[in-house]
Amino acid sequence: MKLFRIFRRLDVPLLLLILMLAVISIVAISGATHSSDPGYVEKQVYWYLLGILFLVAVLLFDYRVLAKGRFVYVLYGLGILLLLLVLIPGVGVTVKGAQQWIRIGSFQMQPSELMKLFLIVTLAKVASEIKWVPIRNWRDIGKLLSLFALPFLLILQQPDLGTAMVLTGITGSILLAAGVDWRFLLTGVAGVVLLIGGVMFLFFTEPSLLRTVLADHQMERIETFVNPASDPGGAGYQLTQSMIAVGSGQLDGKGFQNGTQAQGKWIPEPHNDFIFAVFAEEFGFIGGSFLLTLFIFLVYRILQVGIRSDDPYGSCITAGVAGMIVFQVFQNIGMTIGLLPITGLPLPFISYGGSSLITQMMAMGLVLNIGMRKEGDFLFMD
Amino acid sequence: MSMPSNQVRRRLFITLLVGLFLFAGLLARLGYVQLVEGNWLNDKARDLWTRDIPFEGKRGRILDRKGEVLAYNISSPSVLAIPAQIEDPAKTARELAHILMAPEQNIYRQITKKQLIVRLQPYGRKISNERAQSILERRLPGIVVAEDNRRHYPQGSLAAHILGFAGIDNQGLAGLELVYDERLSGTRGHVSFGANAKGERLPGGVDRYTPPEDGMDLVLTLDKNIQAIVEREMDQAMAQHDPENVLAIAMDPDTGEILGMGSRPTFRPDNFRNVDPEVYNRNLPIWRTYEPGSTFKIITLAAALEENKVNMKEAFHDPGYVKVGGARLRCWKGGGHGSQTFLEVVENSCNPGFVNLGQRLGKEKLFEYIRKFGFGQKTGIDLNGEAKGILFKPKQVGPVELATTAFGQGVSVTPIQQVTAVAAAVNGGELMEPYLNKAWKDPETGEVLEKTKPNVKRQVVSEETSKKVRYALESVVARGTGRRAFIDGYRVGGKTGTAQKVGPDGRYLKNNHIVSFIGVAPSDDPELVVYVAVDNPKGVQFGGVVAAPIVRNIMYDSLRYMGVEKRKKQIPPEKIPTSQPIVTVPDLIGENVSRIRNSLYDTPLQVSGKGEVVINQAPKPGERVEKGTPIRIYLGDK
Repeated sequence: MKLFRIFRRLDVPLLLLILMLAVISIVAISGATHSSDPGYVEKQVYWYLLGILFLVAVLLFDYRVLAKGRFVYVLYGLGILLLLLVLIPGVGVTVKGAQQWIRIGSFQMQPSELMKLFLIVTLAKVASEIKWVPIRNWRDIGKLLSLFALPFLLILQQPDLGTAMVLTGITGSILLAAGVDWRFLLTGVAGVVLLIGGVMFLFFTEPSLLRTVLADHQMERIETFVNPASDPGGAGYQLTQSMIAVGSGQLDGKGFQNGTQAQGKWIPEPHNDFIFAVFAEEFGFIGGSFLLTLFIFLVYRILQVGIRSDDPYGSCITAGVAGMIVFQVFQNIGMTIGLLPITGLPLPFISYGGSSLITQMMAMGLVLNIGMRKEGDFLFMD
Repeated sequence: MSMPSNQVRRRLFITLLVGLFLFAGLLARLGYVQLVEGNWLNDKARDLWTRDIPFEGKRGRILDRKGEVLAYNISSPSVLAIPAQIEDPAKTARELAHILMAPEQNIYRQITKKQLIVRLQPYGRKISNERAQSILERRLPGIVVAEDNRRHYPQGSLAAHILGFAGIDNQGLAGLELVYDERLSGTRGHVSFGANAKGERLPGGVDRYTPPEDGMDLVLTLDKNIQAIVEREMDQAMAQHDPENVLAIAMDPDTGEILGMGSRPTFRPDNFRNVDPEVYNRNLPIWRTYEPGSTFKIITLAAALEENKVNMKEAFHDPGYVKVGGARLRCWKGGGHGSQTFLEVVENSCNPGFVNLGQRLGKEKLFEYIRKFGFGQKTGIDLNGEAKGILFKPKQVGPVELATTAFGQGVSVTPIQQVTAVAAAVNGGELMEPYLNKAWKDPETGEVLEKTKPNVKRQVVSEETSKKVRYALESVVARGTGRRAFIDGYRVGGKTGTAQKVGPDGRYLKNNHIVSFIGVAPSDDPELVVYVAVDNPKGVQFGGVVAAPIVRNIMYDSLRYMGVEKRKKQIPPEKIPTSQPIVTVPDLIGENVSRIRNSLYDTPLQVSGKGEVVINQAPKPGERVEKGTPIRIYLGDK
């Protein structure tokens, strides 16, 4: 049977990595919540099972079907529509100051998570179809950038700076893989660096000017990042507590379910945005660096799939997925250890939560899908 | 798409490198946070999850040199609340309010504060044991009764300025309570328990008890009885002369130990909250500075003697004034003292005579001695707020300044400086550092843990000079301006002073003086220096008239209390117009009472007890008393 033959090409190391991350997720969530609400562990197991279903579902289609016709634009349009739905009062739900959820009946979801996937498949298609490489045609670049800018701005205004930054990461890595001219890429990187540098410069020299552009809570985040001790009871609280948790884990950690910072509810969102702090507290540098190594291998495996693939579309998708994971991990862990300002963002595969996990599992499905199919294989059902 | 696939691979590889670079950054930072900063972040974590309920150490007592208690603690319980552990704030507040007789609103507000531990102020502080007991019986969750101590000063206002006071948290706020706060207060103990971010007790946590350490007992150089005598005399002076203020110091000249010291107005340390801070902050004997007047002449005299510039038998003529640098400085006595010896110059406190001594010394020598005697710098007594006083700068000193300084004008000094300087002049020449802290004792065992040794700052004059000064001072009291300080047999020496006060405009105030007297006794081997200054007494304004009798009274009672023997030899007093002749008390013990009545008709007798024979008497036989002093006899049957 052809499908069976295809499945024999499934990337087993990648599957094993996902399994290990799943185990760590369960352990970390258990450590974070066992004294407050042990129910999360069980629910996360269900989310993982559901995630596997989604992963398998994605495997059943040949991913190349996405590149046919205008199908990706339909998905892209759907994602934008959902992002707009968030804005409608009654449908959009505000969680912790950001309006990023929609509720339909008892079902809640985060459209920005789905949008990440839709952006990957759309940008990958557009980028891989451009004839002239290196890409330096302004029309092509303009098209790619507008596809990125629309969801980026919608998510930024929610406001969800974290996810918006992940979109930037996705776009950057796809553009890199698709062969956008170096000069252009370097200009983009320089632009981002200049923007961040400029904000920081204004923050220290002319904060009043910056205040006219940024919202209060954004100013606060910068302030907190620059000096967490400035307001340890308020804006700096999360960072301070998280740093104490990670640092007090030291080399070998305080032991499973023994983190005082986690058990004492000192860490905010211990099962979610700050799950890494819990894990690093209980398992120390050994555990933390092990988890980081797993992520490195994961990204390596994903890009390996892209490198092996002879389909530019598939390669671009793997670049997008890798960019998504790298950026999200970097931002999430970076914020818990004081490397980056705090932006609410789950740690892929580890944090508790359905929307995020299902998105990641579907992305993994796509990558496995690319790895299984070679030129000459036929489309689903021939 | 025409891109060659190896180029795609290259670019994907670059993507991987970027990812690796970012992850390497994460790994480095993670290692730094966990392995380098880990230690102190770990301490911070421990601080976070442990909660301490404080237990106060007992503040050390303050004792006088004989062990009399001047300040101690009354233990009293206080109520603490741990808001996060209170299950039913409304009910808890109601019950607490009932027991503490406090407004329920007030209690409710306090026990619902977002705070780890709240001390219920003021109703829950230092409550009675009965109330504490009934709170404990209710077993209210989140409510703790901790032992607290209240400071009490059993002697009322005695030595108030020296003791100072401690506040509600047993923190020293003034006086010795502040100076020695650290050693008096001991260390706080506490019970720690694990807690989460909301302050709730962590399940399974172990409570750790760190016991408090009690403070040490402070033994003072003060003698409660001498202090009481000083206080009594100051009260008397306030009543009699209605001055602005009075200050007095009694010191052991050999060691620098302060035996008694005080000032008026005063206050009760127990009641410091209702007292004007100016009253308790101004410890006049060390804080006040003024021109000393004639008591300062002792310094000039000692310097001149030490430098061999004068022989006491030398003659000096005082026309009633002296011309210096074109200015005419008058003697306090109109018309002057005429021809006299230098001993008489001292007895008479003759200004031109002292100007002459100052000129013989010259400004360098005179000011060198003034500095060597400790003026212009703090004496170093163990109290806060000591002043330094002001001396002329060397280049400011012209002939007029030299002359006025020689008799005590134009310099600004503190009372404690004068006392230590005069003590140095009479104790054999050693300038001592005055002090109040005699020793530290263990509060439990009473064992002496640390003893203060007298501190000799420097030898200022020789024993020989000192002897001459003592003789001159005794002579002042026996025959000169200090007559009213005379006590038969105690060989009191001393010097009067009448200091002019400088008004706000910089001129001397008219008819407003600080009159003072400094006394030393006994003159052959001084054991006590007493200084009294009365600021602006109404009526008479001479040190000899106002301050000398006060010093005399303090001297008389203190020396008797100290058990100082009366001397047989002394400079015989010149006529004492205000007092009776001195007689020797006859030995009446063993005599028959009817015989005494016939023989001692001019002596009033006070009879105690029943019987025919005298078994005891006071004063004792051989004591010298003023004629007409009553003798108490105790009768019994033999």
